[in-house]
Order: sequence, then C-alpha cells, then structure tokens
Amino acid sequence: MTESPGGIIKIGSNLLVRLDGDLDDEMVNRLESKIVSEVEKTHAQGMLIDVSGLTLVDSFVARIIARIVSLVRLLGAETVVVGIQPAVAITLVELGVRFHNITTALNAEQGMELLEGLKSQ
Amino acid sequence: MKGSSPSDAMSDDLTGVETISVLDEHDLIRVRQTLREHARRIKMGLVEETKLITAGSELARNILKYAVPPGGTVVIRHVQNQGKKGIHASFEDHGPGIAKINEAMMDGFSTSGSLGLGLPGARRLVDEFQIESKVGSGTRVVVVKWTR
Amino acid sequence: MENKQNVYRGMMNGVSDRAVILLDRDGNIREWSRGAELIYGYSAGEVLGKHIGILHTPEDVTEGLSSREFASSSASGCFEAEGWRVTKSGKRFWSGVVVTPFGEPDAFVGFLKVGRDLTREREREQSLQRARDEIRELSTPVIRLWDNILALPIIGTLDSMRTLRLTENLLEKIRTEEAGIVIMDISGVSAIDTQVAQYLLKTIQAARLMGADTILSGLRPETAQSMVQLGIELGKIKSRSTLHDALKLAFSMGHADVSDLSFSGGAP
Repeated sequence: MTESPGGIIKIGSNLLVRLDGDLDDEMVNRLESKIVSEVEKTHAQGMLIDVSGLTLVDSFVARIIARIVSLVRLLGAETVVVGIQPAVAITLVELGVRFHNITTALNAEQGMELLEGLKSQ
Repeated sequence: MKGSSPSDAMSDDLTGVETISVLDEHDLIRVRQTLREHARRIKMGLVEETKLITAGSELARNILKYAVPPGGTVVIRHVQNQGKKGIHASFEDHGPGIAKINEAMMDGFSTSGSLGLGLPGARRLVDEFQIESKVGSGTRVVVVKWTR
Repeated sequence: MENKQNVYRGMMNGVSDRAVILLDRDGNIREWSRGAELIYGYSAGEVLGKHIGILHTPEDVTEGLSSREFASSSASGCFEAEGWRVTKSGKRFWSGVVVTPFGEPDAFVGFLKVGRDLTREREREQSLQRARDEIRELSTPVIRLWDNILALPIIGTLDSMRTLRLTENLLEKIRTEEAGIVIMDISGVSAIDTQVAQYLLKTIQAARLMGADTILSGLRPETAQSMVQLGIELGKIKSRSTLHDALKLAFSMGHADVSDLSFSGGAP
C-alpha cells in the first residue's frame, strides 16, 4: 500500500479515496483532477470511494460521487462506493437518490472483493 | 400532498432563535452545524437528525443556486406542541421565484440541469413543509421536524 | 358582594386535586388555592407576589416557558400543555396545565392557571410505550442465519414507524455482522398494497446501499397476483416462495463456506 499525494491511496492495482467533511465546488474540482491523474499514472483498474466519514450525503454530494464514478469508468476502471452509514442510507432512500449504476459495499474489504469480481467480467 | 402548514397550535420559543445569512458555501456549513446542534439539544435521534440536516442542506443550497443577487436567510428555532419538541427552520431568498410550484415539487424536475431532487426530496425528509413563492420576489420554504 | 367573593374562594379552595392559581399580567401570583398548597407545598404567604417561574424547572425558566404560556393563551384564548414542575421540596412532577386569560374583555386582570399532577398517568403511558416497543422489537427480530446471511421475518401490518425501526435494526445488524445477504420473509405480512410495497422497497434499497442484497421469501401466489394487478413492480428483486429456496439461492450467491452442507428436496 503506497500513499499518493493528496489522500489517494494505492492498494495493489486499485485506488482508495476518502471523502470527508464538507465539500465545496473548488475542492471537488481539485479532487477530480487528482483522481484523473492518479488513475492514469498508476493504470489503476479499480477505485474505492470511502464515505464512512460522511454523516451527511445530500443530492450535491451524491452527484459528486456519481460524477467520479462516471469519470473513472471512462478511464477504464470500475468503482465501488463503500461505508455508507445506516442513517445516511435511510436518508438517501427517502431523499429519492438512486445510485443506479453505482456499486456499493459495506466496507473497503468487501469493496475490494467486489472489485476483483467486477474486473474479471 | 403533504402540504399542511406548520401547526398553529404550536407555541413559539422566544429564545434561542438563530438567523443565518446564506451568501456562500461556508454558510451552508454553518446551517448544517446549527441544525445539528438544535437537533441534539432536543435529543432527536440520529436518523431523524440526519434527515433534518439533509433537508436543510438541500434547501439552503437552493438559496445559493437560484437567488440572484445571491443570498438569503435561514432562521432556525425550537418549537413545541403538546409536549412534543421540534425544530422549525425557514429558508428565504429574494431570487427569481418559482413560476410553477407543482412542477418544482415533482421528482426529476430541474431548471438547472441537476438531478432536481431538492424540493420534493426535502419534503419527504421532514414532518411539515410549506412553500411560498412569487415570481420576481422570491421563495420561502418552512419546515418542521418533530422528535418521535 | 362580600358573600360572593367568599363563595368563589370557597369553591376554588374546595378543589384539592388541582392547583388553581391566579396571576397578574406580569406573571406574579395573586391567588393561591388550597389545591396549589397541597400539590406544591408552598403556603399562600410564601408565594403571593412572587413570579410563577418559581414553580418551573431551571431549564424552562431559561427557555422562557411562562412568557410562551401567556403569549399563547392571550393569542388563542387557552394554553394547554404538559411539563415538569418543581415543588417546594425541590421534587419534580409531571404536570398538566391549562392557562386562560382572566378578567373582563376591557378589564384584563391576568391569567388563570389550573394544573394537576400527571405523574402517575405519565408513568403508565411510558410503561405502555415500553411494552409496545418491546412487542415491536420481538415482532421484527433480525436473525443471523449464516456467516453472510441475515433473515428478517416480517409479521403483521407495516406502518411508517414500524418500517423505520425495522430498517434501523436491519442496517445495524448488516453493519455489525458484515452480512451481504438479507432474506426478507413476508409470508406473515397481512396485506401488501402499494404503500406496504413501498415500505419494503425502501428497506431493500437502504440495505443495498450498505452492500447487502435482499431475497424476498414467502411471497404467496395470491399476494403475487394482487401485486401485479395493483401494478406493483419489484423490479430486480429476487424472490422465492419458500424460505428453503431463498436460503439455497443465498448460498449460491454468497461467499459462505458450504462445503459440508447438502440440500434435500426443493427445486435444484
């Protein structure tokens, strides 16, 4: 496991990025640029987005997550979102956010297993 | 349609009213924190608290998104009804207003190219929801969430 | 005139299980009934002239409870509420209070407060609520069937409150057991209309966000028929008519070690 600049961690052929706290437009743009360059540099085949630190996911954050997933998919890698908290899960469903094309897993460990499964398809 | 207005039988709390000016993203953080503090004070419970703050985040963000000139006001206070405690929050801007409230309250409707979930989503997360809007003068959304 | 006053005072003091208190417009105590003495422990001499706030808890005083009571009763003619009150000895009790404005329309005098001790009622209500909660808990337990598999048998009717509790329990269990599959048995659900189907769907979606797949089991043919007629679509959700078949499916989907198990009967 090696740490790349700015909080994106490389684990094998996968990348792990943690979303924390309050995101604004500027931070999101920077994060997306970072992700793009890291995926290209490391030829990552999978990405985990860890949201276990988020106590709130509103439609803005949901959109960011969806954008990162699309972005990474265009770069040839698959993404799994891990760590959605129970209260957040219930709220997201009530809010009406549908994570249609987004794969989710309980934690990073299960997320990794899923990624391996997705890659072999 | 769950469009009932906040109960008239409620008694207002004359203390602890917080007013937040929403002008930029940082103010959104303050809105969320304030809602969290108030929810914790009345022991609302994590799931209900999360719903309240998420709704607040949606509505406050709408102020940033649509109001021109940008900016609006969020007012948060405690309310009580027959022993039950709750949080009352109003979100007001002087933006363009909403021409067709019915459409805006439908899932998927958006004039800004987003997912358009703000209003109807927020409504599902709270117990009482009221919206007033006039084209040219602005929009005011009032929500109440009670402890269970 | 003298006589009438005595009669009224006699009436007020004849009520021993209610505290009848007259306040002036500033909230200071002007009349203190025998019932108030008995309930609060203060004699009239000790409280006359003092503010009603002496009967309130410190928190309520800070939050301005009395001004709220006066404003509300002035506005709507009557203010009714329940809350904590404090006796002379410092003991707290749960009180039911009715506050009304007092006096002639053009000669407003103050406020009339009638309160009673609801401690016993409150305790009864609370233990009833606890019993209800326990029944709810017992009626929707989440069972760990295998390493990766949880079972959630739902029996009876579903309302929004019950669905929320059920969902919270399930998600918590998914988190602690790190389960990837939920078998939701609905053979005991009374009736599945669009509302109930929505509740089930939301629970399934929330579980999915936490990485768990749900298999419905126990969907009876008649129920399936009425659902289709109602236009209820469960989409991609897997469903089996028996728990046995649902479990078999779960094992084929999951990562559980089943090398020493064998299934008998049922469809392959």
